Amino acid sequence: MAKADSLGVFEQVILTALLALRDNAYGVTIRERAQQLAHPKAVSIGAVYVTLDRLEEKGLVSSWLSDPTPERGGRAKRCYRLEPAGRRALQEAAVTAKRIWDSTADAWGSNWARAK
Amino acid sequence: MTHPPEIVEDAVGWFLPPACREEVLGDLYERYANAAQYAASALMVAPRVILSHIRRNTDARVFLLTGCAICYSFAAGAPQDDPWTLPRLAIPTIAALLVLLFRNGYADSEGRRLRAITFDIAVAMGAAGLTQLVLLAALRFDLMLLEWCPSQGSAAGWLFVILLRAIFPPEMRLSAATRRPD
Repeated sequence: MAKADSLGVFEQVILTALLALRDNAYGVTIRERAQQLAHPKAVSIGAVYVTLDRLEEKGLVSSWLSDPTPERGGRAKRCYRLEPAGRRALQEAAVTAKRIWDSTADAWGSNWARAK
Repeated sequence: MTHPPEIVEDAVGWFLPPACREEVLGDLYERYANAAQYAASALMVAPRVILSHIRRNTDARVFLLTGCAICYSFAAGAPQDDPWTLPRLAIPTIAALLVLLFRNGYADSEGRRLRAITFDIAVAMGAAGLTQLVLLAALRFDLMLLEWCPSQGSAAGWLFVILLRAIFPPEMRLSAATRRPD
């Protein structure tokens, strides 16, 4: 198993998507939520698979196959959920992001992001 | 049509690693809008998931040792005082390593049994031997291993790599779980 070191930005996006989606986190829904979070950057489903694979290898998420459904042509979904180590890593990343936000808000004012 | 043509799905499925074929084909099916979008999505996804599986299933240290073992197995076919020694050794070694890397992309917990590993190594060493036929056809005798060494080297390499894989067995994939955890 790979060592769970600091998270990249896209890994944070994917973990946040998993956190928001709870029990409905699989490839398609994760990509859609990640697309909303990463807007205006485009998120490809291939990048989502690669990142989920890496996060699973780090032990931050786990996955299982659901039952097959007709709307998927009789194929199963691979569902994902955050593991405790993933929650901790995301919390640490969020705390760091909050510090960055506070510092930039001090320097540029709290309305700068809305102006963009 | 609200779903992809079966023949296209079968073709895409053939390229995808078995470990993720089910969910990737299901996701592509769910996102299907038209044939062009499906083909574009499949072309974007397939290389990335194959590379991801190669990265996940390849231990860099074992891979390096494997390269050394294969190179050593062909060493008798490359005279040391020859300026072409390095390319003579490198060509079959790189061919075998590329095949092993590619096979790692398609390996899963099921496919990593001893029989499958043995077969993969045999194919890789076959590819190493095949490079000599290609060089022969191209009349590049200066880059070829000496007589008999391709076959002897392939056999020795096969044995060395099997021994290496036995000493350093591959880890089982973590995502092999098929039921929801409690």
